Amino acid sequence: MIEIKNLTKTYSGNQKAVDNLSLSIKDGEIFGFIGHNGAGKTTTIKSIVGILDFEQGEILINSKSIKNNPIECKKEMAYIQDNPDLYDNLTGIEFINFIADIYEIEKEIRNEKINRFSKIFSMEKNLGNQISSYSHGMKQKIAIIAALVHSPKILIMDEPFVGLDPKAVFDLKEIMKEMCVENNTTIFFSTHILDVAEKLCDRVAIIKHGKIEKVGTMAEVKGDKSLENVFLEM
Amino acid sequence: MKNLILLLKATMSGDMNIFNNKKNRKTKSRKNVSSKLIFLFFGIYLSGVAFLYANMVVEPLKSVNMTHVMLELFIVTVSILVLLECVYKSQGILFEAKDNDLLLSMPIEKKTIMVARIIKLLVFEYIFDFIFFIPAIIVYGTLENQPFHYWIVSTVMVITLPIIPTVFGSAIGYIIKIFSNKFKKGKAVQTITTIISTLGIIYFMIQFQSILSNLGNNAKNIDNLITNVYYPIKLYISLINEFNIVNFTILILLNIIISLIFIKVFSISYFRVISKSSEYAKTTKYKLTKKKNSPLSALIKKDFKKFLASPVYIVNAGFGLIIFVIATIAVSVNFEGTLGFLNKNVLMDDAGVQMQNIIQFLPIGFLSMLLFTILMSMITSSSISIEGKSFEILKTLPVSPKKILLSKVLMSNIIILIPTIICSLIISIRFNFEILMIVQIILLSLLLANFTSTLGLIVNLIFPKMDAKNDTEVIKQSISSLIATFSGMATFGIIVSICFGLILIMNMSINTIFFILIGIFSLLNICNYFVLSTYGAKKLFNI
Repeated sequence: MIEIKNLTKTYSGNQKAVDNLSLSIKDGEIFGFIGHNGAGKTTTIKSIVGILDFEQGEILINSKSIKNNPIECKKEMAYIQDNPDLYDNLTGIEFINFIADIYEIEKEIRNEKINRFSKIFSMEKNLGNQISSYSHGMKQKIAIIAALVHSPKILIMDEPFVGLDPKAVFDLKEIMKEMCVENNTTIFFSTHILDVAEKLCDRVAIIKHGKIEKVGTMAEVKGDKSLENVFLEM
Repeated sequence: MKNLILLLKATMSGDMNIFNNKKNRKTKSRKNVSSKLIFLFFGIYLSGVAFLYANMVVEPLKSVNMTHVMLELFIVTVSILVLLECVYKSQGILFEAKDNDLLLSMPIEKKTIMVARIIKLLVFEYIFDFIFFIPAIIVYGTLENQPFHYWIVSTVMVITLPIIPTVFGSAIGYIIKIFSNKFKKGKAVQTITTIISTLGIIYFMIQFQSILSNLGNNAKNIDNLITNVYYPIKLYISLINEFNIVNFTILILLNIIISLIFIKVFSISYFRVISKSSEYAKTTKYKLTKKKNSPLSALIKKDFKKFLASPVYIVNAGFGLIIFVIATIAVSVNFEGTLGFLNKNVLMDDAGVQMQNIIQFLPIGFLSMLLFTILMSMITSSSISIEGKSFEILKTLPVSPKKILLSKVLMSNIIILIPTIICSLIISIRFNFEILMIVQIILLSLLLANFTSTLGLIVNLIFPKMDAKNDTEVIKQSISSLIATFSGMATFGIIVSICFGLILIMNMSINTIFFILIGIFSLLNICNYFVLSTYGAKKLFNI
């Protein structure tokens, strides 16, 4: 479970990126986070995963505070960046093994997952090449495989579908659903692709200028309208 | 021209904060001011040393009325330093910039991009110029009561001095890049050829050094050699003796023409070289892991791979270690020959060092070399900055900041200790050092390596540079790497002074000195580890 209570993040120059934001994401839920460019989605996500410090509020990951117990919280999470800045000098397999070593995943388990996910995302032939030779989409796939290899209880993704080919988008959606159903994984992701959010998410939140405008199930948020219309009206 | 100016503004503003808008400039952080002060302090200190050295060098030349040879020697020194730097810096700045894709996709001539980058490279070389050459100009100008035209000509010389060595260094770097692109393991070839080129230049320097023996008597020969080999120096000296508008124009035009020829010739293949550099040998093969590593090992491995993938990182950090290994092997295999070579070319006979006395002082001589090598190999001064944008990955992983810092210290220690301990054992066995001394040398190596690694990391934590466009900027042009270099030199100077004081004044034995140094560096290490585990751990994730 993710609990965000009164999160406020101000950048230098008194610019509030997130303003008194509160959200609660349950176990096994796929939660979509939607907002215009600069609304505060990435700031919120980076605060959850421990990249950004915040001056007010509290973020609890399965009842543990990200500020007071960062290591314990991060053990349960995986994060996929919007623009994957990976270690360019490593090969794909080296990067995945690096992440797996950090999470202390046994070799049999990780090798099985690497084989499985690399086949799903058609990356088997590229794992031996340096990440610097990868396209954006390939880097995104490696980041996804590395996140999934340690079976996180909470998966946080910042615009994960950007740069992926249609098959990879489909496969990622299927994996997300499977993780929620089989492992009760909590998935929190931001996206601009409203169609995906409508079909995939159990609940969504719409953020505008650092504040939550609407939150609830798809039916509660959009009513009779399409999500796109709701978003545009804001 | 307009594009060139725009490019220079864009690239320089990141490096030097010169063209930031007023709003940004107003927010002067304390760190910004303190880093500028540190630069200024080191600049003034080194200029002071250059000033003293210029006065020392000019002394024996007064009696033979050839004081201008001092200027010539300083010009040669600055030129060689710039040449050495540019051989490997140029590879990063000209070819490995992260804005290649952006710039090459825009309607900017490739020649313009190349010129902007060479100017960027040149600007940093002016640091050597200002620090070392200006004091020499002042010393000569005041000593010889030079007329007004001397100062004009010298100002032009200050401006033009780094241009030709920068061009030649860039040409060598260019050729190395073209050559290494032909190989699958291009980076490895690039590293090896860069090291070989640098060793070649240093060998030439040592040979040149030999003619500096007995400066007073050899001044005429030195003058003839330098002015015949390097024409700009001949022009400069003739201009300061007697101003001549033709020679003055030639001095300026020579630099411009050589630069233009370089740009014309090398811009033809510039785009192709960049393109080839970004190609990678592809393979469909990979191996699944056979064993699990601990998080600490995984972090060390990751950093080690980064180190090996960056030629400028290896050359900058490892060059001293390479020289140390070569010197150790040379001394062990051919002791008399090597010492004779050093005696002739480096100690210049004037030092009055007798060969038979050298073995007696070998442990202290080896200690000095060990100190210098390790203190100047501050690998960790860039190890946080070189993470760049991928630093965010570390922030999201379940590893403590202490573990991350420890992994960087250990990685640096491994690189430093392997060659130094092997060399220590070789020298100890070859020259039959006592067991106690061998243990002391190894212990001191461990403590020195730790001290260097932890100090470099502390400096990088205080002065990180996470937005560099290439590795060269991080490793050669960042504040942390400059401070690391100077603090290494300063520590060496202080320790050597203490040792000489203890030997000469208090007549202490070498074993006792070793014990004292072990004590000093043990304490320093404890302090550094304390700082890293408190301040460092807090600071790391706030970068």
